[in-house]
Amino acid sequence: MEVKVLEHKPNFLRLRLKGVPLPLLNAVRRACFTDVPVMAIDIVEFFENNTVLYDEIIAHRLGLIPLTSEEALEKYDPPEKCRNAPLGDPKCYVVFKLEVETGPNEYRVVYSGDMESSDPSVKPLYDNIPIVIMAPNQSLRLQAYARLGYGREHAKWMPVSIAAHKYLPVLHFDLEGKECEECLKCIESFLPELAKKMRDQVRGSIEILEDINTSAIYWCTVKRCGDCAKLEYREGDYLLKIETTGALPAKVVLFKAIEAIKRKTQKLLEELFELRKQGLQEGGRG
Amino acid sequence: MGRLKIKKVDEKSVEIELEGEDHSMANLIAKYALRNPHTKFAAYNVPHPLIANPIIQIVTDGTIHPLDLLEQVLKEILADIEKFKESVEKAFNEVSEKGS
Repeated sequence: MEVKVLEHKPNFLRLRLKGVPLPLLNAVRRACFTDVPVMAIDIVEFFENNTVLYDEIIAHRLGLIPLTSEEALEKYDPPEKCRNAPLGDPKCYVVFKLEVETGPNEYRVVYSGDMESSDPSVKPLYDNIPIVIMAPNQSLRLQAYARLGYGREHAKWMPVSIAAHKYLPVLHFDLEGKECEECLKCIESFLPELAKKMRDQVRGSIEILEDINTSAIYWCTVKRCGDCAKLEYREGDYLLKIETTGALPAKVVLFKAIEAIKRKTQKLLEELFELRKQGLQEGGRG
Repeated sequence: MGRLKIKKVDEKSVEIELEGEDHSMANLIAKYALRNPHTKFAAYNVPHPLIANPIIQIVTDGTIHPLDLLEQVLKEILADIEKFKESVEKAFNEVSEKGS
């Protein structure tokens, strides 16, 4: 297996993976969505709310606010342990307070930054996410409980907005002694740099490692290029792209996803051993 | 999280249910089982899209007990995921060395 980091920013990651089995890569990709826990508001207690939005709508909006979760992963118990924990358990829940009132002539927008967190390491990633617009003489008082959860339970616990893989596109071309102007013009209109490379090299193969949609090039190769160029989607050679919501760095999400798959496989293996041991004791096979 | 249930087993075939899992693990196991030369058939289905209990069926050619095969498959996955993790770690180390 050969892995190369193509792009690495805190919230964005692109990798090239050679020789990684597709089902394994797909499992890791899916685990990025469903098996990496992050913090999100789950339960909201309302004390007062005469704004235009119902309690439920505000609770839903609060749930969708991404919260910084990197330290929380170490500090708080995993979702499995917290399933039966009492509300407000300090090992499971972070408490947010929101108290806003408007005066007789005051209009204001309530933002995510107006919430007070009981834990400074868990706070809204952005302070400028609007929650509700308030008219004069309204008040909103609530207490919200955030906990770690898995994306399979609700999308608000998904650490990634994008996790996708695709086959590596490779453009094979041979322009020598052929009428290829139409083909080059077509590719030029979409990717001038690529067409320029083709003109300079005349023949060869170009691996398209950039993060672009190659369907336009594919259209060109099929409809305009004839023998001049062919686009191959190479099997066993993949590009993986992960873009996070910001709750966790992309690198952490990837490693946590790998860990999750490993943990699950180990658990299944243990259970299989256990089941077979029991089966043998009872005299049956398997 | 995932709980393994053996629904049917005989000398050649096995049907297992993964309680609380989804396509990720079921597809992984089924596809890895297919790579084994003793596998005649391996596939999974999800009987109900809202209840996460995929069922994996594996049929062998008879020279190996299907549960032994399943064990091999799970060990292969573990070995591969470990290799995958090492490769990714190596890739990140290369980048950070270049950066400094």
